[in-house]
Amino acid sequence: MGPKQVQQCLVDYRRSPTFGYLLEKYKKLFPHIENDVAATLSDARLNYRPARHARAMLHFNGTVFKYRVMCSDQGRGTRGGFRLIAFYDQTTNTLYPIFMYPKSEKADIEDEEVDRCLTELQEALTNSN
Amino acid sequence: MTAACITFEQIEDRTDNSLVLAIWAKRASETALAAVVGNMFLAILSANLKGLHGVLTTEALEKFSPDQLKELSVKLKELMPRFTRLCSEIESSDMKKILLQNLVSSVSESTEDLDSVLENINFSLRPDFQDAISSAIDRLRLGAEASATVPR
Repeated sequence: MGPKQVQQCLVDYRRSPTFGYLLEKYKKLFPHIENDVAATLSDARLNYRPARHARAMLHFNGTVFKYRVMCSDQGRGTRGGFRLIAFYDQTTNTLYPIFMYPKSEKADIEDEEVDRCLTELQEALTNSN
Repeated sequence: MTAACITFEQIEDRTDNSLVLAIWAKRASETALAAVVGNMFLAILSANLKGLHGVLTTEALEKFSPDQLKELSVKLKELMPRFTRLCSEIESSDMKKILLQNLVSSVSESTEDLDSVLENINFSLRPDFQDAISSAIDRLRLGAEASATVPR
């Protein structure tokens, strides 16, 4: 087996209006969230596929990834914390965060969690420029 | 066996094995010999969970039908609370925590990894969520080439 491939990329966290809207929203509740997100994106920039337990989302042809973001304001590491979804544009080798949401620590409310995430995302799509 | 060629039945078997191991590990951790027996079961459970997570790659999951994904989602939903409870119960006992800490951390980490898999499956089963993600990508206004790579 050869050495693992390192996949460095650029990160543009200002381009997505939905992400910008959500980051501003969560900053009011979690003052350190911007630093926490920056730390995650810094890792993702160095190797975007495995960083922070990243997983490719199903049915997006390996272009959309989900990352774990610790939340310093919650103080419990990445359990709980936030999840950040980013789109990787192969043509420009750039990762664009597009969505983030707080992760519930409860393991038995998955359906409700999808509904909650969808509501957050639709709100961000409606309210962002 | 590579993750790419694993069948749905093989994943079901691994999930069922993990469930049985979780039950045994919980029982073992409640006995007076928790340090010995609990260690053994937790070590097997930990290896089993890592193996299960290892085969549940996005590429492997994308080969399954929506019905199979729903079935897998139900199985994982049944598993997750058991692992979470097992880890919290051990961590709430000072003695067990000291004796089983490393293995509990490993099981806890694998549980979180599997929780992420379960969440991805649930997202994939919701076309409205997928559409919303596609809309968020379109809002990047990267041009037709980038948008065309998106979904289903």
